[in-house]
Amino acid sequence: MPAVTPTTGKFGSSKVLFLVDGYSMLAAKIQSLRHKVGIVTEPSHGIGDGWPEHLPTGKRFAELAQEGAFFDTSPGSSHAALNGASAEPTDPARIACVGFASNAVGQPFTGYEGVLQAEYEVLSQLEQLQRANAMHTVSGKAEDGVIVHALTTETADGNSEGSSVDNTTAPQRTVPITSSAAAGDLITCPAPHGLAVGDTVLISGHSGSTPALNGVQTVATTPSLTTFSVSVDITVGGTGGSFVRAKTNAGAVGYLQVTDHQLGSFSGAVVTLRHSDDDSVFVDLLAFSAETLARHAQRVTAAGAVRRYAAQSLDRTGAGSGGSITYLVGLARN
Amino acid sequence: MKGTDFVAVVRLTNKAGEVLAAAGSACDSVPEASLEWLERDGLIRRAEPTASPRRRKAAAGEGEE
Repeated sequence: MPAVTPTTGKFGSSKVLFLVDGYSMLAAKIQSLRHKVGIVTEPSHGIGDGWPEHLPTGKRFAELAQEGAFFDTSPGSSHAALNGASAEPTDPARIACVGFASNAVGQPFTGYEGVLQAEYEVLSQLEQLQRANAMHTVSGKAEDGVIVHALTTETADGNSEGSSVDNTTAPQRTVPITSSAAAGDLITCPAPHGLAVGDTVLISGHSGSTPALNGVQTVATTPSLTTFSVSVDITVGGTGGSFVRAKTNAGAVGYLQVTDHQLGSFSGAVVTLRHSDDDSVFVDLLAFSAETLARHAQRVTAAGAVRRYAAQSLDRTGAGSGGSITYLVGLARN
Repeated sequence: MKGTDFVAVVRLTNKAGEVLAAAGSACDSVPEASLEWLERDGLIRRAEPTASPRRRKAAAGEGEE
């Protein structure tokens, strides 16, 4: 099976994914979910200005709020997940993953570097079922990534290398190219390219250059925010086209959400994120700690190169049989 | 460039889930087309040339008489 190409377009509320510490919050039939990312600004106008002005301070923030869940005390439901708000600085942060474009491989999700549950509000109204709201304060980054293993149940060891996620088809910014030039072999973009030396990009639609630049190229230099060169000696410049990132070199974050784990007679399960340059041979990117709990979540970081294709593998530990594990794996590139 | 010339630094697998080479073992089963990027990224390394008995003796200072 080739690398997956995610579905693109509009999505309804049935496509939402919301996991906190291995709890699927959708089981509580929440009525709304809000994921918000913004920047902090401060007023920069003064006497003599006729209109207000603002400057970004360099800080960004993320918020996560859910409303209208059923107040449910059965095991694995909302009360068990949300009861006990973070109060001490030593309290462990929660690990949350949110997706708005369906629970499927290759679709985007957002993970959070650290989630502190700030509020848990239970509501009771006459002739209505009890409901609950929760407000989470995000400490650190909101990390955008793609789902590498959708939240599904596996009963045997295996991997998803046959349906890997190709970063060039994953949801990401397509950067236009203005021109390429023989002088300095420079490729110019109308906006910041966001590239680093060693990244690979997939260029398409670029015309007129000698040699042709379309295809996968390795970034050789980044002399400015809007210019870069690839490992090609350009003798005639070209125009147009765009690129997307393929391989990146700034590390990544892996998210694992286990919503149900029956060990059977195994002693645990190890989930590993794997990657490849050519979608043929895969190597480990990062390994999550062995899972033994019925419900759990992990966030693990990896430094360095993150190759174009991503997949995951499941290996249960110990000699055993039976059992099953329901889990989601996501990969967010830095 | 042949897989037999290399030793895997990390575990290498393919899409069928087969282990092509465990860490430290020869890369005989690794497709030749993949060897370049694997070597470039330090995931495989050139195998040490196998020394002949004569060379081993010479290295140990037991030169032929």
